[in-house]
Order: sequence, then C-alpha cells, then structure tokens
Amino acid sequence: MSQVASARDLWLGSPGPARERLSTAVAALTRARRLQVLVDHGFGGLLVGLGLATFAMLVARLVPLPHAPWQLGGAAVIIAVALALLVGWQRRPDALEVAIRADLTLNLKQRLSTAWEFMTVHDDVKLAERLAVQAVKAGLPIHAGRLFPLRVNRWGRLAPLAAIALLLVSVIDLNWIQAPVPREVDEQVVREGQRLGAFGREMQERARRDRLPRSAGQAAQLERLGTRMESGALNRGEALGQLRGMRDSLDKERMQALAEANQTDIGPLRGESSPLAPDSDPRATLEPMQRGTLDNADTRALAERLAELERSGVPRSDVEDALRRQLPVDNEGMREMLEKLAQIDRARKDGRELQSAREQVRLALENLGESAPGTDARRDPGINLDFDEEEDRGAKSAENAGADGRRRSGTARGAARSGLLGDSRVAPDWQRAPVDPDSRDTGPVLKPESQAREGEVFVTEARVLPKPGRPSVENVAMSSEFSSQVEEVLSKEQYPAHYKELVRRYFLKLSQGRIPQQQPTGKRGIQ
Amino acid sequence: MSDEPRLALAHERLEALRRQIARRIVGHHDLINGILACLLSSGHALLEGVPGLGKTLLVKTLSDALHLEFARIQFTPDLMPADIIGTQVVLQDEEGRRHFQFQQGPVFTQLLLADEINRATPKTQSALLEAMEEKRVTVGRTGHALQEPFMVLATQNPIEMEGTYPLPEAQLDRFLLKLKATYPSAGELSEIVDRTTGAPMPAVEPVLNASELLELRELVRSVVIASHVKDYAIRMVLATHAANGHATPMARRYVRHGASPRGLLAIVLTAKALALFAGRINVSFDDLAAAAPPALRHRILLNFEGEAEGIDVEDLIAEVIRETPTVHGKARA
Repeated sequence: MSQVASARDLWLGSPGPARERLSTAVAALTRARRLQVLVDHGFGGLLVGLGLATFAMLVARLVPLPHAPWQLGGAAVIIAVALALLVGWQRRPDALEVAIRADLTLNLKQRLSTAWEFMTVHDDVKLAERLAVQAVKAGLPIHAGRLFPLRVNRWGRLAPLAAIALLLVSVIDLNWIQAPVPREVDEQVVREGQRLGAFGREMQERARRDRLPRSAGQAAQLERLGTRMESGALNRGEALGQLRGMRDSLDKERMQALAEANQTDIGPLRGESSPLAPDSDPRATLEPMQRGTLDNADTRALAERLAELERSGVPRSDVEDALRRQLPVDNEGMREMLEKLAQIDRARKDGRELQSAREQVRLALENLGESAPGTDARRDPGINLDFDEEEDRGAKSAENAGADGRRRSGTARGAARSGLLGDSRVAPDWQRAPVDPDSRDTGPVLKPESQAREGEVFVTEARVLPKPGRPSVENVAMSSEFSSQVEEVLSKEQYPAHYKELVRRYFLKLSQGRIPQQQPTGKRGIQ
Repeated sequence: MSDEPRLALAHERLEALRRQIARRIVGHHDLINGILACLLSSGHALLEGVPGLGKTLLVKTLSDALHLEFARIQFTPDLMPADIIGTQVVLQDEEGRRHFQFQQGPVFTQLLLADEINRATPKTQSALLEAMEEKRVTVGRTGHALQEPFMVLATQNPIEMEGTYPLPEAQLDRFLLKLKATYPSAGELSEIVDRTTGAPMPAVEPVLNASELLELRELVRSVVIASHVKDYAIRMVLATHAANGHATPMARRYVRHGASPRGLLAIVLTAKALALFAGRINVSFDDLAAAAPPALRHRILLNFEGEAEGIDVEDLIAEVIRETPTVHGKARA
C-alpha cells in the first residue's frame, strides 16, 4: 500500500524505471483485489454453510442420525467456508484483470489496463508510462484499499438472517412439522413412543451422570424417536423402519463399546504371578487388601478381577480405593493401568446402557408386530453383543456362591435384578453358571417379592415358559396414567393394611417393565 | 505518435476546426463528431435526415474550414456515371488531328458532396464504388488516382421514397459511418433563427490543410487498442450474427445478415478517432460503444420477420451494446 500511496508522485515526474513503478502500483491493487475476492467468497461460503447447517439441523432433528445436529451443522459451515475460500483462491484475478477492473471502477477509460498490457506483453514501456500518467491524472486512487475495500457483500448481509434461521431450527419445537397432516393415530405406536421417550430421557440422565458420550448420543436419538412416535407422526410401518434403524445404530455403537471394553492389556504388570489368581476364592482377595500387603502381582490380579469381585459383593469403588492406597506415588505403570481400567469401565457401562436401549427397541419392534425373531439375532458371532445374558449368568453364579440368596447385599441384588452387572470377559469360566442349552428359550427369571404376613418380605424365583405358538413378549408397555390408576384401584378395593404397600410396589414394578407379560405359575393374581 | 506535443497540437487543430464549423452550424455535435471521425479515419460518411436540417450546409462549412478541393454532385434520376467520373472527349489540335482526352468528372476532388445520393439510379450510384474504396477511377483501360485526402460525404432523404433508389448493400458497406441528422432543440432553433435571419452568414476560415489532415490521420492510426478492448469490439460484431453464440436475442430472431468485418474495422477506426478527440492515446470501451451505432446501423440487414414487425435497427444495436460483456461476463449497464 505504501508504494501505491505515492503513486501519483511516482507517475508525475519522479525519476526511476517506469516498469517498476507500474508493477508496484498494479501489484498493490492486485493484492487488495485478491483479498477482497477471498472475503467475498468467504461470505458466500458462510451463507451457503449456514443454509446447509440449517437443513442438516432440521434433518438431524427429524431423522435419527449417527451424529449430533450441532456436529453436522458445524461441519457444514466449516466445509462450505473452506470450499468457498478455495474457489476464491482458484478464481483469484491476475494483474491484467485487476487493472481492467480498476479502469471500469474508476472510469479510467482502460488506460491502466492498456498500459499494463503494453508493458508486459508488447514491452512498450514508454507508451505504458504515458498511459499510466494519464490514468493517474484521471483519478487512479492513492490507496489500493480505497479502490478494493474489504466489504460486507450481499452474502455477508444475508448471513445473520441465515444464522437466525439456524438458531430457530435448532430450538423450535418441530412436532408440528413432523405431523403436518392429520392421520390416524396408532395407539400402540404412541404407547411405544411414550415408553421409549421416557427410557431415552432416563438413559440420557445416566449417561450424563456417568459421562458416557456414546450412550448420550444414542439416548438423545432414542428420545427423539420416542417423541415422534408419541406425537403420532409415524404410522406403524414408518415406526418399524425407524426402530430398525435405531436398532442397527445401537448395535454398531455397542460393538464399538465392546471392542473398547475388550482390551485385555490393562497395564505393564501383566505376567506376574499372584495368590489372587482367578482360580482362587474371591472372598480370599479381601484378606490381603485388609492386611494392606498387596504387591504388584496382587494389584494386577485385583484389577483383572474387578468385575468378578463386584459380582461377589465387593464394591468396585472399594477395590479401586484399595488399589490406590497400595500404589507408591511414582508407580506410573500402575497409575496407567488404573486409568485404562477406568476407560474400560466406561466402555462397559456404555455397552450396558446400549444393550439396555437395544432391548427396549427390540421390545418395541416386537410389540409393533415385527414377528420374525431371527431379525434380531446376533449378526457377528465372533463378538458377544449381549452383555446381559452373560452378566445374568455371572449374577446367578454370584447368587449361587452366596449363602442363600436372602442375605445378599443391596448392590449385588440390585445388579442381579437389573441385569446390569457382570463381565464375561474378566470373570473366569469356573464362576459362571452352567450354561443351559435351552436357557435362551426358557424366558426371563421373575423374582417377585411376597409377604405372607406382617414382617419380612421374601423373594421367590420363577422362570417363565412361553406358550407354544405365541411370541415371547417380556414386557408390556404401560400407559402413563398407570400409576394413578393403581392408586385409584387401591383406594377402592379392600385390602388388609399390611398388604397395600406390597400390592402397590408390585404394580409399580409392572409399570417399569420389570415383570413379563405372562403371569408366573403359581403367582397369585390381584383381584 | 512520439510525444505529447503532437497530441496537444492535434487536439488544438481539431478544436480550431470545430470552432470554425460552429460559426455556421448550431448543434449537431454528434453529427460533426461523426464527420470528423470519418475525416480522420480515411472513411466516407452517409448523412441521413429530413430536408432542412443543415446537412448540406454542414458539408459546405466543413469544406470551407479545410484547405481542400471541394465538389458537389446533385444526384438525380437522369444522372449518368460519366457525369460523376468523367468521360473521354475528342479534341482537335492545331494541326487538325483529333484525339481522345479524359475529361475528369467532379469525383476528382478531395471533398465530394454527393447530395441526395439515393435519387440516382443504382448504376450511377455504383460509379462511386471504386472511387470510395480504391480511391482511384478506371476509365476504359486507364486508371486515374484520386487526390489524398479523399472523402465522400453523401446525403440522403429518408422520406419521399417515390422516385428514389435505395443504395445497394455493397455501396452502403463502403461508407464508414451512417450518421443521422436529428432535429435541433428549442434553444438551437432559436439560435438558428438569429444567425440566419439577421446579419449575413459569418465567413469560415480554413484552418486545416491536406498535409495537416494526413498527419492527423496518421495520429489516429497510432492510437493503441488493448487486446481485451479489441475483444469487446469483436464480441459486439459477432453479437449481430444470428447464428453466432454471442448473438443477442433480437439478433437471433430478426437479423438476416450481421455486420461484416468491415464493420469491425469501422468501429475500431472510429473509436480511435474518438479517443484522439478526447486527448487519449488508447481506445476505451466507451469509445467502441459510441462508435458502434453509426458503424453498424447500415451494415445489419433484417430478415422478413424483423421487417414485418418494424424492428428498428437502432434498438437492436442498443441491445448489442447493452448485452455484450466487456470483461469477465459483465455486461455494460
């Protein structure tokens, strides 16, 4: 710019090579124009990017996608701006084009461009200098930036509107878009949608609490799907299609989680022998912990048997605390192992959450009439996709290992019920329950609580056998008014006072989907 | 052109010529510019306008302001080619021997006014063809060169079609420009009345001789034109060709024959003269746009549809100028 600042003096009599003076002036103009072109294209790219982001946000909110809406929107903006800048760079004007534009802008009557051409192409420097002098006299500006200023072009002026549109699309309720025309509402789809939506919200909360991003994303998608189904925007066929897609997405995420959780190399201390080997009694591991005499091999063995110990009633946090207490401050290897364990633990939690979500989706598919159970079969026999099955086995084993199943600790009991504990990869084989070849067909295990008289509540266990020729449906979706209906029934019916709480708990558990549809044999019904 | 003083001198001479013309002619600035552009571009001009607009007076004034030989031919239906070119006459010497001698016609001059050229028959009109293009006349087997500078200024009346012979296309193409005399404004009319009904018409002094005029012509040809400016002129000419990709919508629909390469030369030469008038040594887009209408209007032939719909060639040319992009696809506003 500074060279151009004195362009008028340069052309009107100051000595020096004309070629260099003209080159300097045109080069400054060229730089300014190229920058202007880049900025113009950048604004264009921004506007297009915001438009695409708005569209992507809309689609991502309406259709379950494997990426979060803000990720898609951000990627659209970044890619569009980058492409626009690339196009702007490829379209950068050369010096002659800039001179022509300067002529047109300043009405220089093509003096500057003719001067440039005759200097560079015809090598007629004298003529070029005369023309350049005329151009300066005719009003060639002192500052190139004044001729080609950086400006907010029309694309840039429209960009805030596009940003507002993006913002609106990201926050407004889209249910009215999803159901633009009234259609016959499928009550079953609505009920399944309510159930899935509620489950998705709970899953999101858990994922947030446990910091599980993979589960959080899937939970958000599940909730959106549930909301759409609940709103009646989807008919049964569409809901089935969406659910299948959701199931596939959950499978994919679950496989990734499992692959992450399957990491066996948990630290640099592997290979040392320890009295806490997998074939020892899990209870015995508590003794060296209580004594505080753990060596490296012990801690490694403990880490490997973390899940197994947990099923045996030893809280994971206690074991981890014990490991930490044993660690010397500078034991980086052990610290790394613990970090890896935490990572594996998160992956397992992810897997469990995703497995649970997948069960819900599978249930919804069945309830909506997807009759072929084979469609839900495991697709990759090489990878165990079912955490629950193995964990149930482990839990059962743990229960068997316990004294009588009635004095189980709260943690173990809760884990066994929900099927959310256990780790088939870490637990040794001898501790697993014997695999019943027909176990897959025997149906779920029921553990209803009973009360014969005032006082202690006892638990019985039953296995539900599906009736031949009927699909095995584990859970029945309950309406959202179920709890209030229970209260209403309880208030009308005459029960002994000490039974009322038991009855209420029973039905509320039904509403949470823990009790299968079929009544267990010998179970007393509620009249 | 070698230095600025020559340019300044040329500018000064042209201004002096304009001043002399302006002593008699009121207004008609575009017409005068066109005639001077023709004069400096070694071309010929066809002046068209209704009677009484001062076409003939303008040409006579120009001849008075120039130190050039001037001749006038009033074209009539019975005018013969020999009346223009000249003829062989039999002469007898002192010894009584007879021989043929070529008697030069009025075309042997430097500034020729062909008044109401469309009143003569095509045969007579064609007698001017060789003179205008080759600047020579062939009689029998002998060719006779015309003096330089040589310029034909023809006038024609667009009305009174009865008894007129439209100029053949070949001859029209030989006119560098076709200039239109327009009606004067109220102010100009007032001044015309004052000048012509009061004191005698002021005398016009010659300010430019033949050699100076030739020098100016040389100067015009030295005006440079950049390649992108030249491309614009080419695109304008191609835009008048119905089958060409550059053709404008009107040209595609209504044009039978577009402008010839001679039309392109006319545009560029006229633009160079206009640039010199403006004191520039390079041609601009505006020069080309200004030169296009007079250079193209007699070189574009409309098809039957265009004639039937009464399409004005002026509108077509205006569209060509408007739609032809200068650079980077940017059309002139």
